[in-house]
Amino acid sequence: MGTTDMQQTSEIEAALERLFHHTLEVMCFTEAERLPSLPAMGDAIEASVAFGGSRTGHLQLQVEPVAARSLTAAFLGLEVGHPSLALQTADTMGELARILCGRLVTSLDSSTPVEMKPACIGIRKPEKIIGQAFRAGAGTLRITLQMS
Amino acid sequence: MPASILIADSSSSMRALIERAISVAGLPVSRCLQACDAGQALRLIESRSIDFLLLDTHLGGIDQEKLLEALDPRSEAVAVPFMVTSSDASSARIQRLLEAGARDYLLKPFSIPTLCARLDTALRTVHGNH
Repeated sequence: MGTTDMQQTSEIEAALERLFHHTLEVMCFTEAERLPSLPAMGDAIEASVAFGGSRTGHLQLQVEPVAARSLTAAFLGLEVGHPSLALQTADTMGELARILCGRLVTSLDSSTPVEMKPACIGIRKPEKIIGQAFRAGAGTLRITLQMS
Repeated sequence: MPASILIADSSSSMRALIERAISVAGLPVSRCLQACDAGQALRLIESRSIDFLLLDTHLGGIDQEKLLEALDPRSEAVAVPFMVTSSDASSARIQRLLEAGARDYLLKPFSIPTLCARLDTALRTVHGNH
């Protein structure tokens, strides 16, 4: 990987981390702590978004169920034990992934609109794969970004 | 006069959050309807009396462009006043929607007080024009 490429990857990494913190703070009133390495994920709620525009790729958010419930409760302003949370948790994680994806892609090129759609399977090899993990809402969250 | 609002967003939790925020903030809204895709939004706009639309730009459905055309005040269709919520911060998207008649463009993520303040202003502007 060349110097320019490394610089670009580090800018994307920084933007992803900043936007993740911002999104959780604003929508879920939750502070996240960046983890130094990517943990193995057991059971997780997984939300993925395929995107196009100036960049193409795929963003995947994996969230431990306990964190997903806690974040959904905060997002909706409900108690963690509220019965409607079970129905809203997957949708809320999907919305967080879409917010993160849209803001990230347009922060990298603010002149081109982003198109987002449900993830699809392709054979194109991504040029960049970035992974980050956080601790928030009493559980672990992991983000994987593949971009070309 | 309280407005009848349509919240069009593919996320059910976002629609629930916005409806709750409107109710708690006491905005001048008589009723909230919800649509999960562009086709449903278009049908509700065409078949009911909607005073204001809160529209997410990544609303799914094949009728999305048709919906935007219908909302354009320059068109001869329904021309319902609308405000946009989106995670798309591109200048091209913002310009396109504002040119199509959007009263405001609110970036996601947004805080509830910001949403309510901007929506209140947009509703008052619409009410003032009637």
